[in-house]
Amino acid sequence: MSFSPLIDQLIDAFRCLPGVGPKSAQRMALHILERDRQGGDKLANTLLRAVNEVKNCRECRILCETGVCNICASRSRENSQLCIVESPADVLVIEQTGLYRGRYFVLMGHLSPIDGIGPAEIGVDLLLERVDQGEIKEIIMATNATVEGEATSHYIAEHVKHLGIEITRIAHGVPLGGELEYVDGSTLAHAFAGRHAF
Amino acid sequence: MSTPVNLQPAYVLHTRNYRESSLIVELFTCDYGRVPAVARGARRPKARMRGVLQPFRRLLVSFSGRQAMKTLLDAEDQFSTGRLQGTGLYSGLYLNELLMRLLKAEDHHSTLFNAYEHVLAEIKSGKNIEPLLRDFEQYLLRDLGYGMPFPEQLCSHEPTNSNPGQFDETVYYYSPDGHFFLLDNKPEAEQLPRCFQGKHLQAIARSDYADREVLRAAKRLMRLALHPLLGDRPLQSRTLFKH
Repeated sequence: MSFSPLIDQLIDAFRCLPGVGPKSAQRMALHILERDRQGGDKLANTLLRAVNEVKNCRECRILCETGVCNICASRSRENSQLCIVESPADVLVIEQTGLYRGRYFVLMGHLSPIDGIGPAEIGVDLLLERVDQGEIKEIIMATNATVEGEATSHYIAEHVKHLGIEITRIAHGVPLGGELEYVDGSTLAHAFAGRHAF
Repeated sequence: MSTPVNLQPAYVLHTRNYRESSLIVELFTCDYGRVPAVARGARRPKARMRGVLQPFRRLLVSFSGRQAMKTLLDAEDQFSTGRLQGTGLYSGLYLNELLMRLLKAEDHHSTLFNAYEHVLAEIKSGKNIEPLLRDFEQYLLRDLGYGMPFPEQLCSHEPTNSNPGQFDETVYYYSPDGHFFLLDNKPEAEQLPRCFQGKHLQAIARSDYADREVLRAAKRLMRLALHPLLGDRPLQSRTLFKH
């Protein structure tokens, strides 16, 4: 048995969300129609507004609806440091530590040739434009500690090093509270290579 | 393949996210060629396989399943020294993209696996990368059944002191269907991109890349040879090498 066309359409539309299969989509659709029409109305309006209005920040490419995001617009942050991350979620965790007061640049991904993601897709041109403005004294590479993250950092570093800016990479190694016995070999090798004076 | 495969030497070619916390891993294994497999829960914060499923690391994997998409049961890191850095990293990504594009799932390629392992080790050790890549490309083409049909007269004559430049002047045309033809006249302009000097081909056949010119010719030749196999979609990793 199938529902009427509009309900089927709604169920199908919910399936665009990650992790939502036919059963969950049906549950969501029926919940809204049976029990929470007001919530559905709010969801529809907000979704429509967000899809239309949220764009990438002109300066750092993070998602926002104001043209320039809060961090880029803030005057109290330092202009001399630029932290390069892969996703908006990374900005959020770094902000939660409260330690970093510089600016960000969000690549919205990493270099991944097999997936067809090259330098153009991660906004390297925009980044170079921004670095060329001359205020930045240090670039902090905070891409993931994966092969792709490493390749991305290296690619960017190669393209900005001629400007004479200090380029740093966040440290990789033993996590706090971690016991050496349970740390995998490659991480440990990194930790040894990156040891510093006591 | 319904019985599980245990502790198979393998390298990860590529991973992509699958559902909430899983990964689809493309493995290049020693005895089973390219094997796509699902690693369930591999993206959970405490998953044991989380840090292990990275390219360029020699793993021992166990997997099972009747379908083309296997289930990855376990992956152990066989701790290997050295890692790819800088241009070496790009080269590694290039090799992986080549293998992903050209190998069919579950085609047996154990000698190619050894060649891949060898080239990774050589790149890690800091050797000149270009000759290594050219050799691997030749090896890959041979393994896929598209070996270079180098003209016999070039291969059978070792350059000797008495005739050092025997093939200096000969020019060969590499046709789109993968054959070499000796040109009697000066090549025409539109033939030039597919023309190679005899002495260069001779050096390429011997994997002797001491001369920069030979290396450049080898790169051009490999591109021409790989092009029909790759189709119209260009290799993305090549863009990384451009400055």
